[in-house]
Amino acid sequence: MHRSLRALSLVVVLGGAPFACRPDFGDRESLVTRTQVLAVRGDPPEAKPGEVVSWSLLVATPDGPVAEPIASWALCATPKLLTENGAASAACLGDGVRPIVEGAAAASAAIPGDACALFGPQVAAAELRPRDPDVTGGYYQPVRVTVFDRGATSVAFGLQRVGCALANASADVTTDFSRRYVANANPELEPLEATLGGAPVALDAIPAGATVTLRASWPAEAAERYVVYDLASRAVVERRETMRVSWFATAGTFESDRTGRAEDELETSTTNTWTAPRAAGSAHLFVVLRDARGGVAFASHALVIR
Amino acid sequence: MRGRCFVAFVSVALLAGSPAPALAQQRGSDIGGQPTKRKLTKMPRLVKFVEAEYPPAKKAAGVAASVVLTIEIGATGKVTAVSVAESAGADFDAAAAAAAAGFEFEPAEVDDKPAPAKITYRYDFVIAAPEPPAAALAALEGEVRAASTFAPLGGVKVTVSREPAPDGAAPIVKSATTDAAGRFSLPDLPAGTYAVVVEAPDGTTTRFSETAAPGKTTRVRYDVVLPPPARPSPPDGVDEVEIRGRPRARREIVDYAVRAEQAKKVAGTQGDVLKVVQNLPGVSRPPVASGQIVVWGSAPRDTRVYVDGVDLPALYHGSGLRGTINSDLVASIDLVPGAFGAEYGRGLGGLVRVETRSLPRGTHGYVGADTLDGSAFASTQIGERVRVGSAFRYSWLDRVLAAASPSSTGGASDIGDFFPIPRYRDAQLKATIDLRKRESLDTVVLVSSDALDRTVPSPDPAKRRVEATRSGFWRAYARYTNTTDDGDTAIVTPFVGHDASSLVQRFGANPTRLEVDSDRYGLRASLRSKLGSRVVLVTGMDALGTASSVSREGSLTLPPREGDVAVFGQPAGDEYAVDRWKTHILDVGPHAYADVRVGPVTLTPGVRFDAFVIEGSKSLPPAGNVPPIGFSRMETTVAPRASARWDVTRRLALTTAYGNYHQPPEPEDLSAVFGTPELGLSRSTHITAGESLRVTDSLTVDVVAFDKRMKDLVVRSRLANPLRARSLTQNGEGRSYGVQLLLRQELWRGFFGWASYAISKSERRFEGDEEWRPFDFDQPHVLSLVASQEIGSWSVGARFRYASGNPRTPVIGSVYDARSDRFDPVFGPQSTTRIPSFWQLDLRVDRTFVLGRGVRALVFADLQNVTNRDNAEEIAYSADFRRRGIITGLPFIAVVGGRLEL
Repeated sequence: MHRSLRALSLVVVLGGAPFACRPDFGDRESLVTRTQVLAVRGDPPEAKPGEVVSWSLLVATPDGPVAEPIASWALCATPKLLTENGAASAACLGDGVRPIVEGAAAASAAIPGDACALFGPQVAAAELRPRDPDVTGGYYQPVRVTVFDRGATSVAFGLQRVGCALANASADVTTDFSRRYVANANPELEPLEATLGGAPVALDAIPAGATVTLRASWPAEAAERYVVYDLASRAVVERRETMRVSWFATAGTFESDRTGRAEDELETSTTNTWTAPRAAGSAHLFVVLRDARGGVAFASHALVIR
Repeated sequence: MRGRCFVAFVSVALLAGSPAPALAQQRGSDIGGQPTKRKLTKMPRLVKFVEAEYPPAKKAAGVAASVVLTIEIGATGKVTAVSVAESAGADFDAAAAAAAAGFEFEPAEVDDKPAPAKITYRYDFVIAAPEPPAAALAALEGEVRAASTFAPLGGVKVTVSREPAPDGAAPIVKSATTDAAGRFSLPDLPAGTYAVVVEAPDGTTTRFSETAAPGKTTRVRYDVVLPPPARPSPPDGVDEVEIRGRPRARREIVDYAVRAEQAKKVAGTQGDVLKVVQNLPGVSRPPVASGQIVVWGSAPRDTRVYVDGVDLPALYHGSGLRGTINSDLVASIDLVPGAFGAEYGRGLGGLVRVETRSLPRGTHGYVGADTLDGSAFASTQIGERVRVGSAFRYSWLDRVLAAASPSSTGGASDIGDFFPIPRYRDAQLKATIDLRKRESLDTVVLVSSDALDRTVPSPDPAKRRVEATRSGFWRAYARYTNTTDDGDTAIVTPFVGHDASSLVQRFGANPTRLEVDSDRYGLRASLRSKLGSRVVLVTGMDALGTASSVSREGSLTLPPREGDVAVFGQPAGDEYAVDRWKTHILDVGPHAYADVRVGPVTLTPGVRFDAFVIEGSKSLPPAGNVPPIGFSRMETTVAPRASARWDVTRRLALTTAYGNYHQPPEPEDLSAVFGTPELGLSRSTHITAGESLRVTDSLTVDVVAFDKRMKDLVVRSRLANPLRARSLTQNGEGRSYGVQLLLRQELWRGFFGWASYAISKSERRFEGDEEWRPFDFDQPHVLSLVASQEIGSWSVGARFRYASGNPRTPVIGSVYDARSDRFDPVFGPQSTTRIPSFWQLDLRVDRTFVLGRGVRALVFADLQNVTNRDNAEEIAYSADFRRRGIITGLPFIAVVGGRLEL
């Protein structure tokens, strides 16, 4: 139980606070306990309808990464209803898709021509409501990936950013946006740095039970500056990508499951700590770097605990 | 000599009151000359006392003394010898010995036979203090009237009592009974402050505090609130006697009223009168800390709250911890769950009506504090015609929690970061001017504000949470009341006010903001006229204008709406939109109804005409440089309302009611981006039928069956690509039906309570769907048991509640969103599971202390969830939705507090 929750129990008794207590499932998002899709990477991460995109996967199991995952790939062909909160329409879990390839670790396909109509602001008639972008101004084509491993099935949606025209913007704003907007590029991960007590430590020689500081870094240009049509001011404004790092391991414990840098944080790295198991053995560590516009980089590392 | 005799007698008498009187009076007694093996079976008893001559010189000098004598008593009881054992001087010794020689006793007995004895006796010579002058006496006179009609009440017992004062003044209890004119008199009272209990013949008691000034007669008038009397049929040939006076709010066919003095005693309410509504029949249990009111299966926002007929946006502060009006300014609170009359409109649900209290004459007030907040109230009289009262409340729960947090001892310091701690304030001002006989003007100002802040830090930018909620309102109104000699009554209440609410959330990258500022103005007026002996006609006007300015950004699905399929804590979609718009909604609602009495049947036909003017600044979303185009339209409705009551016998009545209701759209729903500017009126029809049985004068049983049908409800569009400015539609339908029972004991010998149970079903569907689904707040079974008993200065109470859990949509799987790095739930059929049932027992105990000088202190402890049951408030899931658990509500808590009353 989180220490604040424990403290709250006391406080509630003392103070009659109007609170409720959330159950503690004890789960850590960073611990790989089953076959799990950790990332779907589109290359390029942003494409216009008709352009070809290649997608790759990072799949992890408790035994380590799956080098050649067996996956079924499909493009979602059904837009979400206004009432749906998820990444894609529930229909895309069924037949509302366009299959790409079966049993492949990677897939390539052209962005459908109607992607901006289904998932973007392009409407068949002027009286229809254009779909809303996300806060970065982007629209996304869902890509369904179904991974089969050891009799289990994992379903994930990768969201491919699609370059669509602005909706409801004036002509001069549209022109300005088109002139200044640069499509997103995938970020890159620098080599992972691991230190123990301030000194570098090799990932294949980590002392059992040691707490290692890990630093994930990316080039300064990876956190790109981009322009977005600001709906409040109805003008084109410039922003900078946030960068998030997702940490996974098959053993041991991270201090934080996720770390990152917000838009106004100019640092190009983020740190976390990982405490190795007390018993000697091997483990695997996965690092996934995401930028705000759907760009992805990932890496996996074999760890040896001595 | 009289004084000395008195002193001697008092001295003996006082000794006799001691724990060992015989030994004290006959200190050191022994049985002279008797063998110790013989048993003394009876002590000698003084039967004739002779007063001693107080030595004049010593008396003149004010000298007191005690002489200890040895007195030998014969077997006949005569004194046979007297000697001095401890001298106090010759003159005292001689006087004492001479007096003792004349004593006579019942002889002692040894082995049950008279026997001589020798005792030691102390004779006290005491100068009697001069008697204090008789205290100037006071008197209390007055009259007792019914608060609702101002009719005099005869046969009412008025009891004044005063507890022993610190200076030793004796306790006093005196009673008098009012005559037919309601008058009573209590003469010859020692001056001081008295607790006054006014007890009506039916056992209803009301308490006051009065100060009786020395040498003066204090004249008082008590207006007491009585339970509604049984409605006996007038004898044949005799018209029903009408009691003139200012009428209270009209009672509806289904109307549950609780007087403030009772509501304060209900366990679990912490003395907050308004919170008693949550325990009345037909009210679903709200989610913890929500403050929502769900009656008869209507959405929380469909139920209207009125204070003195003026619309309020909220009955409770946002957290639900407190009412927004100070309890000491509340006279009564009524819940009308549906089928209400023509006076009210604009709501598909029920009514909550609060009547503010008439300010008492004189100066009164209180200061109170408990774990949650502090509050105060004061009222005073300015001249004979003006009374002014003011109250305020200030929450300090956040500070109490900060102080109670273990952070000071190195524990968590981030309680407020993870759990929002409400902060609330409210204030009220009321002034009453008695213009002329039966003509008064009340001016009232109500102010309330709420704030809730939460910040959740995280190393992950997407999980940093900032949440700030603000809400508040103010109202200012004047209420003019004029009652003619014929009993016709006119009430006019113009009002103005402002509502403001702000919700700002940022969960990661996607911000959510909704700000609404509304200026409100309106008028409520009614004229009650008697047309003959059997008909009373009420005509009135109910007008409300709301000019709103709304600003919103974020996802369409946040804030959530009824019918949304989501789980607790699930982030809204990533879609982001922005809009700012203005609306103006004006409703003018003339109405009329009549009470027509035909023998034992009272018919109340009524009709309400509403003209809604709905205006907005944007009819379409912004596009390019095209300036926005506004809209304006008018909708008119005719809403028939009718009710009937048949007094089958003196104690049994059958009732039925019917009504059509209309509700305008909320300003928030008229956005061209997030909503639909062309939304029209939602409609509902209510039908009730029931019986009311008065088992005794204070015990009633009410059973009501109800049926509500709703149409044109505002719901989200189910299209993937709806038309522009059509994100919301009016394709919602609803139905709600059930039966509820109320067994209620009005105050009787210090006890009151009720048991209410409702079995109901509330459902919704999208127009055209075949299947109905449970309404999000549907609770098929709701049981409330409330009891309170007054025992002297103590009061104890208990409340038990049981409620079915609200429906939820089950999660049957999950899918990973690789872009946002989170799992999305995969849902099963909508609303096919429920939160586990809820039950809870609360207790309350309080004690009143009369401190004198009109000051009383009340100390209370409100013990909630005394069984420490883990009640489920919500269903929660693990991050990957593979495991399910429950969010539990409040553990056992004790809210303690007190108040000082003048």
